[in-house]
Amino acid sequence: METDYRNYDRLFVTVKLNKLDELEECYRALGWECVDSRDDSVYRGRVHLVYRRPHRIENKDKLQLLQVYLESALNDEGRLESRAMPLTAATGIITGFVTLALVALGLCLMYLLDNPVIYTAGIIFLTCSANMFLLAVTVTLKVFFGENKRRKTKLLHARAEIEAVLKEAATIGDICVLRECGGSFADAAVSEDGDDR
Amino acid sequence: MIDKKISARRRETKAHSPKGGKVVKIRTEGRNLGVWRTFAIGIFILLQTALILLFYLGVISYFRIYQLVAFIFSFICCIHVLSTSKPGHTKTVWVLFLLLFNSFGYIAYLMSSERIFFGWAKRRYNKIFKRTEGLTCGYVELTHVCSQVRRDAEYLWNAGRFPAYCGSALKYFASGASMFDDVLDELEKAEKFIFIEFFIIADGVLLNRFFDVLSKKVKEGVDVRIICDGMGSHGTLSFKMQKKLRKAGVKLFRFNRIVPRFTFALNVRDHRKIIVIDGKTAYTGGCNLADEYINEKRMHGYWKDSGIKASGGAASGFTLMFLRQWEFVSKKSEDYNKYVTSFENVREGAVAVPYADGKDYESFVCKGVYSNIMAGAREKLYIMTPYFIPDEDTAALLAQKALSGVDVRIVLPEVPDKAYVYRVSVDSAERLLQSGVRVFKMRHTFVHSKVVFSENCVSVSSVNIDLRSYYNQFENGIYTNDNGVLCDVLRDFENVFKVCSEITEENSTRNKLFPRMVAGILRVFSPLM
Repeated sequence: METDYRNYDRLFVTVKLNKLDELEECYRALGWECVDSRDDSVYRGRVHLVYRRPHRIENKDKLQLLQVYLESALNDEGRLESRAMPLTAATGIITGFVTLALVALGLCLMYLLDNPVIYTAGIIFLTCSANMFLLAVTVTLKVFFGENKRRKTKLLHARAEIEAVLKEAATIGDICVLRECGGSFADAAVSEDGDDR
Repeated sequence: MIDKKISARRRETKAHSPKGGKVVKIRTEGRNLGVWRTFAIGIFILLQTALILLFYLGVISYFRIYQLVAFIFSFICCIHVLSTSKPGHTKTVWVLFLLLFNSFGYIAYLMSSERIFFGWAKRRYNKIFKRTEGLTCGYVELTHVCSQVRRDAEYLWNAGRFPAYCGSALKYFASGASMFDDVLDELEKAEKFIFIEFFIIADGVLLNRFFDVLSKKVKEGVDVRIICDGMGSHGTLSFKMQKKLRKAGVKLFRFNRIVPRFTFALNVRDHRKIIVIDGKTAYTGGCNLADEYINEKRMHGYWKDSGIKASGGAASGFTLMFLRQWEFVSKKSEDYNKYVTSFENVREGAVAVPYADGKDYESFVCKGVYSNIMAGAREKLYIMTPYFIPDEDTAALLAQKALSGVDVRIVLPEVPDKAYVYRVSVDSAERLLQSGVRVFKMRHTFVHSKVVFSENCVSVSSVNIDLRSYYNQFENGIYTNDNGVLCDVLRDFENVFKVCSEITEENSTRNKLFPRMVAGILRVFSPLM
């Protein structure tokens, strides 16, 4: 099916369902109009949207820049909300591994070799592993709280960015079309795979 | 098209959307074309390199004294490198290469000589230039402008016979989208000819819009010609589209096509961006003919670009530039008088000097233009560039200007397109911080504009501040002191500064060891960047 690429710009977006309403509101503020939507054929929580906007509009450069800020902030927010804590995970894994290694080494020294000196060394290693366990827990918790605090700050920042974009889009006001390009603004269907050639 | 049965089965057993990942994913309309073609060419070149190496190993095992002979040849080549006018950094890299790889370094050096891989092309260009040198409007002594503009115009005349046109109407565009909308409007009015030359021409919505107009114009009897670069448009302009354009009557040539042959000539690219309509209107700037330049395809955040329109006498300068290149790529002589309009140049109004650079010119014109603008700045010197890998002269000049109290500001992208070039660009810019140069990164943006602005004049061009643009590629631009353009460019810079983050000595990556080390290693390859 033909698309009217002379008079309209098009945008293909894949979004998670929990962000759909917010995204629609944001894109509407930037002058986009949703013309098609369909669920993802594989993943339950995803939907594919097709937006369009008149090609020649006032303040287009500003709107395009705001759109990039918006999409970047939405993705940052989504990534931060997923609660991924890579630093905490890495710290926990490494310190846990060291603790387990010390425990294993201590037990091996205590029970595998029949020597009082080595037996004593095994006890020392076990004691160290207990200290290491306490240290691992302390360090991991400290890293966790630090990372969580930074994540919350970044979340606030991302949210503030989205609000700022919407506020600035509102100051631009109604999206005014500059002029028609050749033919009329007749609505044309969008092909299923978005291919306009 | 997904089979309906398969899609139905999939809907019954839908997976949960994976955690993490993007909330919003923009699906761009571009396709990666030519992957297999590129792969095949790469394999051919590797095979040739392997054959050369095998032959070479055979030779050196047969001749015992070869190592000594090779070292002597490499040493002679080092002396030759040091005596050339290549930039200092390039000389250093060559000497390092020749001494480290003295067994075969001299062979690579000889093969890279322009006399070998570009000699015949240079002779052809010389013939074309000799035949067409009388077509320019001649030198005009500018008495109504300030001394800087007068000197710069004289430089451009002496360096490349680029005349200064007075009284042409100029308009600056702060984005690719606005420029191409204007271009499409002007194309509708074309009556005689349309000349288009771009580094990248890519399938997409923009090219479709162009195709609609161009095919209509061809039917009206307009002569439509397109030059695109063989490497820049490789993988972006499909064979199908090329065939479609030619079938519609558009004449299309590719400059220096990529061939499956090992040659240093592959490094010579046509980076120009020119549109000429009837010899009366011309456009140039940083934009290529592709969707990302108008932000209808998302590649590296927001794409910031710029362009300039020249109407009147200045357009004939671009007509001549294009026709010379056309004669070179098509290998057919042209009747220039049909296309190049002669007019009377007046000594009033704003000055506009369209200029070009490349292997067809003896001087490094673009570097000269930029250096002159930088040297002439007394109050402000603002630069927007996607890549900042200056040679020693340019870096020293910028530092000296900043130390003299000139407000020197450089705007770089925050989102890179090539990480290795970006690392060197940021490192080069950060080295100037201590001299007082201010460096900005435009947030979430890939800055593709190539603008050098001072209080008296501006250059809007295709020239990056890197060694490739200065010494290797075919480039073009326009130099002007037009008040309207100066105001628009200044306003653009002021708007850009508002959305930039500034790099200071405190947050500079040069304070960290690892980024400095990486930049230092990558700098070795900067002549190729």
